[in-house]
Amino acid sequence: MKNRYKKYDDLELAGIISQKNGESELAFKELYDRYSAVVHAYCYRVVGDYDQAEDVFQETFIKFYQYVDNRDNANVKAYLFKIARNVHYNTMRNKKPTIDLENVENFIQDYVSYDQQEMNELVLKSINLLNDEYKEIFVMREYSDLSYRDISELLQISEDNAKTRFFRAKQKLMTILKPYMQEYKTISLKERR
Amino acid sequence: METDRLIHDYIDGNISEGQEDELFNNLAEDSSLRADFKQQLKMTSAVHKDLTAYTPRAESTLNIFDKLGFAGAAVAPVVQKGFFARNSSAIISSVTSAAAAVVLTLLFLDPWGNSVHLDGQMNKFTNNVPWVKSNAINNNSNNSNIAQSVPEKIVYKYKYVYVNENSQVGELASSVPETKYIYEVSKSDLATNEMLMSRLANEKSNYGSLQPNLSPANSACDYFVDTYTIKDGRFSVEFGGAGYYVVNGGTMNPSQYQAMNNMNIAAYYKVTGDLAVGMDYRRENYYEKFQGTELSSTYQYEQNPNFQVVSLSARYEPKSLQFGMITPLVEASAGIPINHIGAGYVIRPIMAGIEIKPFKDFKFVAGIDYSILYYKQQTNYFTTNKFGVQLRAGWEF
Repeated sequence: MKNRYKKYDDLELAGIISQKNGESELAFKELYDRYSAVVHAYCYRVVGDYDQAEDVFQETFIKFYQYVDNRDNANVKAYLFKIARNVHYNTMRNKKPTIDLENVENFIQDYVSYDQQEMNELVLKSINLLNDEYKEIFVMREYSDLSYRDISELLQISEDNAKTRFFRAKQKLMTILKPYMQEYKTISLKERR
Repeated sequence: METDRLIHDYIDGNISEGQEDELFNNLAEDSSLRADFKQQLKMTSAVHKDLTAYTPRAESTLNIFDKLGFAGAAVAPVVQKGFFARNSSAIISSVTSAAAAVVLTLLFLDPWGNSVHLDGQMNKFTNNVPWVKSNAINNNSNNSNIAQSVPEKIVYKYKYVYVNENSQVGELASSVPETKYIYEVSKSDLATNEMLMSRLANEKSNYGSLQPNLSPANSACDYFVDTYTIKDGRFSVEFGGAGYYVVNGGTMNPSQYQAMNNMNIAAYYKVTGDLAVGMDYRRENYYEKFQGTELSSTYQYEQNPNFQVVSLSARYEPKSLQFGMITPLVEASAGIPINHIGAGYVIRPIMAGIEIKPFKDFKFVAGIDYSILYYKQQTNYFTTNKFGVQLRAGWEF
């Protein structure tokens, strides 16, 4: 069965939801289908604690439904992230401490068997080693594909600043991963011989 | 600009043409830069494979919808539908197929044997060319052997025409190439059908095939034009549709073939009176649910594979159990998805149903169909199955 709400853009759907009538549920479901994955990725990777991330994720969409209004929220995707970010910072007052770079070596040594899946897993775990500032912009850009304009509005920084911060976040990740990458490369070469 | 930044901007999609040239020049000259480039690509690739992050827990979705007072339709939209809504696809496709078959049959296959094919060619002889009578004869009268051999059907089509001059008789013969016999008959012969058939049989035994009898050379006489075709009914074609239910739970929600899912076309050949073999093409959907592990987490996968399946089938239709126009049948088939060769195969161990033949050469088939899909996903085989109702319309020729 075709979903007739697919043809509506975000703003039109937000307008339908804000009317809170019989069509609101289906319009909400359509927006949920569009953005639940990227919002969840943000919550999951930025919050860190998985159960809390699920709470933030749920709270985000519930608040979105309650407060969405197409007159004030021209960018629905950015609005969702704004809610997610506010919920996160309001509910996570005790920030989860990040691991210092000095601990990275021990962290990496846990990996004995090297294959692509572990490589992927290592990258993902390395994201958790970033401080919150870098982690957040990395997730917003890399996971959720937010534009620099949206990011700059959400983080209250300039677009150039957002670009630079994202670049630095990736540099940090590269620094974390570099020893592992080199070892991975060496092992791969040995295996080929 | 530093090459690291250029690599970053390139992957990020924010690089000018000039910077891109600079980047690739640098990469061409420096292997360590190429290694860095690969490393960044790997990092991006790892992020995009982070399924855990992109997949909300099912209970989270349900909680959201529950708290908002919705019917929890987000995870697996199960809409309670009535019988017609649930089976509309199969019903519409079957009715459409049946209607198409009826129209085609009436147009081309002459189910009642009323031939009017010669009208256009005969008009030059007379503007009064009445078709007289048509009939169908089943030549095989050996009922005791009916289950062992395919009955031969001969359909006779003939017309009574009037020609004023003898010279026109030859023209009549040459202008109607499919005419096998042209018999002289008198109008009185037409009084009864029995007389006509007797005359026809007698003429055939005397002259054999393709021997027009053009005598006597009267200046004004009546002629009986006969064409006939032999139809043994060995071949048949069927169009149909089906409505299916998933046996192992779940709901089929196909991403392809939504409009005409589970449609099929099949051709059969009768090897004996009771047994036919055939080939079947269908577009069909399955539903499949399985568990897998990604990044140490177990996922419940659901998918709706869409296939175009070609199958070989065998149908057993015992004429000894025929009751009026209804004959029971069973069918088994096995096939492969031709749009995913090697991905799996389909077995239909049984379709049990009936054939209803309200008209000559035209039939309906209704049956309960059970189907199993063996599908290979990467290195693992998965199995899913479904059962449903098949409705078909077809004709023999």
